Amino acid sequence: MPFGKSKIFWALVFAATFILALDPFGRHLDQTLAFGLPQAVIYYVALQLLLFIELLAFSRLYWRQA
Amino acid sequence: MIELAVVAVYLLALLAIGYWGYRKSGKTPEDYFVANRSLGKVVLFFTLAATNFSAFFFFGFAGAAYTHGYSYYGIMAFGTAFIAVMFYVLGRRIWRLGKAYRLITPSELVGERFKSDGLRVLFLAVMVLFTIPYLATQPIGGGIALSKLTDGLIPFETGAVIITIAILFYVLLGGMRSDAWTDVLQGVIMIIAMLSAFGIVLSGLGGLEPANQQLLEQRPELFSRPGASNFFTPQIWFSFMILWSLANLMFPQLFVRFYAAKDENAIKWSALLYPIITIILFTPPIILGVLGNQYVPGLLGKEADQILPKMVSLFSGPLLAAILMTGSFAALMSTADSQLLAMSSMLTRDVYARFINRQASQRKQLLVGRLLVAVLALVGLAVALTPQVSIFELLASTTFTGLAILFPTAFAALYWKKATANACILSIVSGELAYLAFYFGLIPKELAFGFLPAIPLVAFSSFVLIVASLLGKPDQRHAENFLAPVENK
Repeated sequence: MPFGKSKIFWALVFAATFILALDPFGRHLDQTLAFGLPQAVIYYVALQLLLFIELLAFSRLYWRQA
Repeated sequence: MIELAVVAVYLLALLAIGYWGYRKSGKTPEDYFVANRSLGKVVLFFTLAATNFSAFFFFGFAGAAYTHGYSYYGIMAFGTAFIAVMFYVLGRRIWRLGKAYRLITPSELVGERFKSDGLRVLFLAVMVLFTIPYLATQPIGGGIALSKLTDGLIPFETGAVIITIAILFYVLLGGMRSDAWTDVLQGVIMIIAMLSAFGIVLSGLGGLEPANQQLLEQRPELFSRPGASNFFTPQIWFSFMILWSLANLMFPQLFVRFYAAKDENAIKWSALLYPIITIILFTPPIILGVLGNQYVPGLLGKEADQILPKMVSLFSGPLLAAILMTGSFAALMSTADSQLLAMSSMLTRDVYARFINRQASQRKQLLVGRLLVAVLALVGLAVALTPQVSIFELLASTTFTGLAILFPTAFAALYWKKATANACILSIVSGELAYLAFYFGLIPKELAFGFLPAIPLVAFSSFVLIVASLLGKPDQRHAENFLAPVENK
């Protein structure tokens, strides 16, 4: 995966995740529940899981040890 | 009495771990302050998490969720999870430089990078100034919790003293090793306490869906992003999301933990698990805090911080209340012990061994370090027991912004070879002065454009640092040599 070695690629991945956390799609306007919780909470739990997966890929593909 | 028994067992376990840490530790400042750089992935992860999550995590989260609603989850949980990225951006370089130059304190790194004692002392002074009041809030929290748990049998003052003595015992004995190992126990207790409270209260409520559905019909504003008090504007939302990443690693107790890592693998694992621990630990207090509006309505201001123990006492007996309170002790003690050790290390290495006694032997530095731990603990306790603490309350409420202003200097020290010592000094001084002016209304709040002051202030101090560095004469050869250990990715 050539992208995995690119510093810019990973900067963009984490920046995009941060932008998603700013709620550009207005998830907070949807006040219905999912799994008993507001969709906004589910949205952020999903983003935290996404961040975990990104960090996992980052640590395997880019972060080399000294 | 079951409450007292649970707390007593917890305190005895801490003392036993503290003693064990003492038996394992060597007799050098490096061993005492950074555990001889030996913390593996499990211990490093728990000590980073337990140190970061203070008494505020147990009471403040639920209280803020009670007041603002579910929107509080996003800024706290995701904002904190995102710090994991900073473990790579800052933490990895801190570890590599610490290992290469045997650094122990944050100010040591900045001072050595720029060959400037002035910057070293300034960096230290800002860290200590904003950390001591935060340290004092921990015995205050402990005293209140112990007093409530025993229905006033143990007065607030005695409670604060008991918590301080327990911390002193294991930090004095084993330093970072005991501190980090007790953090593992404290982290586990925090998880057990929070999840037990969540499970029992939730089963008492009859499940999440009906409880939330009912509240949604009555108080829909608690489910909106602006929150019940329309607090979370887009600018405030952005500010909180980024503030934790800028400020958290500027807390000396978190900064030094990267020196203590055994290897980069330990930092990697801590980064990986951070988003997960924030899901596990942050959802219960937020949900219980919001749902508290239905069962304990009408709490105002600081009263809201009592919503979590109130909800637990509504749906369970004294045993769970005791476990929850023990969890809160774990949260506050794991922060306070780390603050003590980090500040003591800075004062020992960057003041005593640098300016007062340059020939100080390792044994003497160790003795002074221990002495300073005791002095700082007593200062924190004295502040906690003083009724007139307005100046300290002010500093505690400004800690995050005050420390975030150090971020541009720390970042430049690790990455930018053209940065100069004078530019960093100017950046910190102008940033802190501008913050004072903001705080006392000398600069109109409108100039923050709706953001928290930390955001324009960090932008301003970064601008000052960049411009002043470009106008100055950097010692690029020294910068290249100093940063050589971090140059490969």
